[in-house]
Amino acid sequence: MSNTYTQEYIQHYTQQIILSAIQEVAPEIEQEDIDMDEDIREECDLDSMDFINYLIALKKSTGVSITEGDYPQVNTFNKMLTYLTEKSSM
Amino acid sequence: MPSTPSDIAQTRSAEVEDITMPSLGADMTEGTLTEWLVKEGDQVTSGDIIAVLETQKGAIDMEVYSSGTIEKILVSPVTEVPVGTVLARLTLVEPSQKRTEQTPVFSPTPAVIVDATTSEPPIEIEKSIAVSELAKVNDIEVTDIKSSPIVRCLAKEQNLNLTGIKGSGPQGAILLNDLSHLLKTKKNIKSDNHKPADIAEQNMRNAIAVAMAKSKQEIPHFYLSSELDLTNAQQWLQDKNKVKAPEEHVLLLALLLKALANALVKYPKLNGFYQNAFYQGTTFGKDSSFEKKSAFEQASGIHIGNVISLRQGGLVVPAIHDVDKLSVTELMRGLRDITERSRNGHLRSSELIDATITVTNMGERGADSVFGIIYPPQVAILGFGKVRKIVKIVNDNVVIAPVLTVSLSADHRVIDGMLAAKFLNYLAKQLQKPERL
Repeated sequence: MSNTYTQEYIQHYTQQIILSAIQEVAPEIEQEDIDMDEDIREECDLDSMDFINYLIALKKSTGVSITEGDYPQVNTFNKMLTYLTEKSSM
Repeated sequence: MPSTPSDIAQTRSAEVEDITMPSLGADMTEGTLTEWLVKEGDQVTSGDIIAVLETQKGAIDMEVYSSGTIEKILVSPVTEVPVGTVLARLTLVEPSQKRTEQTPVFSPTPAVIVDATTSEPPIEIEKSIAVSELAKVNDIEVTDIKSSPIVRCLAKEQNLNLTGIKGSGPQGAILLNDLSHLLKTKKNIKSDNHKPADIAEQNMRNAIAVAMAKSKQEIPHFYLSSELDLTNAQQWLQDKNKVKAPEEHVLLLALLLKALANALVKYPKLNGFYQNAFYQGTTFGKDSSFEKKSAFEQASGIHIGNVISLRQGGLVVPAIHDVDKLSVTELMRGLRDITERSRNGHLRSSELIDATITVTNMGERGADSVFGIIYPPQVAILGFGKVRKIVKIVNDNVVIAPVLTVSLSADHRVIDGMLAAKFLNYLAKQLQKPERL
């Protein structure tokens, strides 16, 4: 029971972190603008430079360093959520 | 005795210099002073950030281009003023150094054109419209209303009275910037039922219209393009980026700019300014006469202006300085930095006015090719299209290769077709050995 609670909390917290990283490069984007299962770059109109700055912002807030090889695993909001949740629980 | 350019250089070493609202791009007509970072009596050094501006391009850190003491602050925050408005007065510490310091756009040693038959001191080339607000010539008597061609055209078109307007150009010539107040007033009268945002956007569109029309009318553009094979470059990037942390990730654009800088070192005619210059007359036995002509002046540094689209609309063109001296990694850091600051503010005013050539990059979702309009007084603009795959024959084998079209718009007054073609070929060759960039 408490385990589920913690997981939900982590999920919610990580979601906020991802959103604020996106807002660093695209300040006008709100959560409701993003389809969680679509390509994040299309959803938020990020070019490759924005995308790198988004990853750097995430690294600053989470410590997780995402390399190019892992890009396919983080190309939507939900995939990024799963990726970061897994990394942080390791 | 008529004043000569060498007299001007002396009179210009006046003690006090105006600090004005800078023009940070062809489309800027006004800016808002939001904060002073100095107060009256403060000592400042050339390059110091003295104020924060809010413009259509976001927040900008405004630098001072001379060293001295802030004598008087004339505009208090928060106030919107037209480009060219005097914001403060600066008492110069070393007036004699003023000229080179206040015009970072140009080579530290100004190019000179000397008549070999006289022993007159070298004459400095007059600066063009783009930096005219930095190189004010207030001390010259205006005997007749001098104005730039675009101003004359506008005045005629809009029935403007130019009498009494203080020009900020060479010999007090009235420049577009000097009219911005007038134009704004006129426009406000016409459209006072519009929302302010509409007016700001309309001002921006008008300024772009005027600047680009002027460029197209005055500069004999010609265009070339070439297909760059990126097989090696992409392979190299892929290997390099695979295990790299995001802050060390290198994008193709960094390689392209580095290759461009190398090509500019080899072909410096594309890197500089075509602008008004004073030639000393060659008539003997008379007072020296000066004829205003235009000439190409090669820039001393390679400062590449990068067109960055702003999310709120419009664009900025911040420059990365001395690209030829940067490693690809440093260049990438510079690119990330200007992109970030373009989004979040804190671009420096000098970065927006000292580019020696411009690059427009369509990015991965853009068009196949783009032919830009030259931003005067520069003489060339490069366009990089999006990367696409083509079928190619290599050593009698059919291969699939990633390619990109690079285009060059060049000023035919300075550059010839063959030179431009050689330049593009050299650029393409540079990219075949990315590890050596």
